[in-house]
Amino acid sequence: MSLNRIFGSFDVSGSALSAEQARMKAIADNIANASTTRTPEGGPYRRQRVVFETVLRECADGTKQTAGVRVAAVRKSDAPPLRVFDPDHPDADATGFVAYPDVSVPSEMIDMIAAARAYEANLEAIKNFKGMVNKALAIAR
Amino acid sequence: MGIARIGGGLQAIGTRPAAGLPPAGGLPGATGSPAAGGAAPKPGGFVELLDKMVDEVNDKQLAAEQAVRDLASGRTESVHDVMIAEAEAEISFRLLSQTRNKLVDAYKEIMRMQI
Repeated sequence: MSLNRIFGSFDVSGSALSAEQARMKAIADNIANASTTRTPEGGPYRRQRVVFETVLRECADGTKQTAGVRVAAVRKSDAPPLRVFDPDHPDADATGFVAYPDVSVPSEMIDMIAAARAYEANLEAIKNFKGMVNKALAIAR
Repeated sequence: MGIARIGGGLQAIGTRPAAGLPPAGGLPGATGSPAAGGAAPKPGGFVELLDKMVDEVNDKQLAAEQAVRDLASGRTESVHDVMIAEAEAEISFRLLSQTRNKLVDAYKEIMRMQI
């Protein structure tokens, strides 16, 4: 559709908003499970990280153009779990140590601020683009 | 020929039945029959272009409505996608209405001409 070409910038920023939302969900998961010692796959929860990649779109003339961002994968951290001495814990091993997730809540908070700011920046891009189009439409007035 | 074209353009905007729109929320004057439009639009002409534009704007409105429906029924969780669909619908409708205003202005200008 020809009208859709006007809204290319919307698609780019919209894809970024979706990506940031996925990042926010991963961070929320990390904070929620910061002291989870049991997971379906066994062992403590492992910190999640989203990996972004650019989206390529094929143009009519065969060339490829970047058209936004998407979540390529949600990777689980391979870092060793935090071992805390707590013999009373039901999941403590024979030596009295409990394996806690490798999640640092302060650093998750920093990531969360980054995600929220990136979301805001993309919202601002949408707002400005809309303002530009509206100003252009006002030419005819 | 110019006047006929402008008139045809106006008819393309005003009297065309908008098939996709629900009757209650339809465009004003969208219930007329296409036969009232007089001469059939020339293929590849400006009237046909306008006709396609009306279709696209209508599609955008329907897409925005569907996005709201999806959000309300829980099929989607991204509020921003709904808002983007709304903004696209709004901008494309404004573009169409500006085009229509320009056509009406041109038509009136010509009708006011002293002969």
